[in-house]
Amino acid sequence: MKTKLTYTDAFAELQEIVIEMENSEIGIDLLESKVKRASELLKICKDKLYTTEKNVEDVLNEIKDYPIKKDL
Amino acid sequence: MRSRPIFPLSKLTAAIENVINSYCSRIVWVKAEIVRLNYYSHTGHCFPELVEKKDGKIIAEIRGNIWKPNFEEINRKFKLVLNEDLGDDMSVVIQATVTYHPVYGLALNILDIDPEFTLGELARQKMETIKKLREENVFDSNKKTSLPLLPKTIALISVSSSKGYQDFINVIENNPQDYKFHIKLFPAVLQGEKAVTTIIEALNRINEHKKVFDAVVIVRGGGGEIGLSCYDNYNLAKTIAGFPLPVLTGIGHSSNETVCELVAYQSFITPTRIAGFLLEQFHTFDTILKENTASLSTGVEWLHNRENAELKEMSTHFAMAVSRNVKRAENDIKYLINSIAYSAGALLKNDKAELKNISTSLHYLDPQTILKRGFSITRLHGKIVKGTTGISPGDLLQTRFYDGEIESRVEKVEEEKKSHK
Repeated sequence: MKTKLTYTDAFAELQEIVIEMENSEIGIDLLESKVKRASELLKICKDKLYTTEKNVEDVLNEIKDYPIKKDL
Repeated sequence: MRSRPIFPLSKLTAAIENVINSYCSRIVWVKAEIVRLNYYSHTGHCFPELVEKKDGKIIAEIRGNIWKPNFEEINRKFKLVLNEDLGDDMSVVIQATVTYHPVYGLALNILDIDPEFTLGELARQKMETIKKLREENVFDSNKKTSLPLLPKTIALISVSSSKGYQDFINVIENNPQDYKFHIKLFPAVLQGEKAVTTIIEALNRINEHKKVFDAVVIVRGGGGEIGLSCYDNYNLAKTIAGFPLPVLTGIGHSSNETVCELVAYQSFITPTRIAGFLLEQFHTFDTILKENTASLSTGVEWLHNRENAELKEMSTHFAMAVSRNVKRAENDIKYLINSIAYSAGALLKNDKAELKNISTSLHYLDPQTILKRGFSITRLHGKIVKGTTGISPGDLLQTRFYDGEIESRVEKVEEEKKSHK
């Protein structure tokens, strides 16, 4: 589905929407669909962030425990 | 024809004898050179050939007679004064009378010879020989040859029956250290008239094999001190001086050194001394060898110890350096891990905050939120109504609330006063 969307792209689009909404450039009718889209993007971003955080944590734990052996 | 007087030969010789004996019977001193002595050992008489030379040419010659008693007396004086027998090639001042014999002819009857003159003459010849050798630049030549560290192959010029030879061989062969020499005998006559030629011949033969030998040794001894003037001979001295190998002499005498000894590499008083000298060379070498062997092993040990210590020290340093480097690398890695964790955390935190802001904004902008706050959306014929304009009583309006919609009819339209706009 929309998994091709990168975090950066999703976030950029999200920001755009928020700016549009804040500037009241959007009519009420369009607003709804925009909000819908925004909440979708937000979910994507949150998911991505969560997975990333999890992965980073795992990797960090892994390298912290990586044994350094003395060869002498 | 006139008759002429004819004499028998004896009459004539008698007349000559008469004249010579009457007028030439005076005893005179004459300076001459004995070319050849012509000594007859069975009779004891000598019949020397006497000459006078000028610029190398004979300008006068006469035969001499030295009868046995005279010769014995003259020779005794010569031995005493010159250490030499009367011999060939000697300049002499003689006391003589002229004699004539009908059969043997004219001769000088030699009564005496002055050994002092010959002595002086020999000394003069010796000086001349030395001077000539110096002028020819050969006087020091043999001294400039080099004696090997171990002179072990020796060309020996001597006579195997002589005492000097025996002395030399005894010392060499019975050395207590048992040093080994190779000695090859080249026989020669070592005194008197034949010495010059036989020694030169021996040296020439040695020269043909000069690569084999380390040194030449000339050894004489046991024959008294008579007949050594041969070692002042120019030809012999020149051969020795110019010889390619070092020549060691042990001629064995107590008087002044002869020319041959002066030009030799080294001269020794006796054959025994030469042998001692050769053994000393071996001994010196032996001592140096032993010393060096000892210092070599201590040197090797010292070096070994030093290298060992250096190696040990170096390996300690190396281990320290390695562990220091490893530790530093470990710290670097730890620092990097921390940095990564910190940066990643910061980035994530940042993103989270941003997302939160956005979701907050979204929440407030969401029409649903606004509707919940008591606002509603009014439409006429599906179009959003933003104000009173275009609204008439009786119009059917659709109003949306947060939880549903209603439809209502307009009763009355009342515009607000536009004073503030």
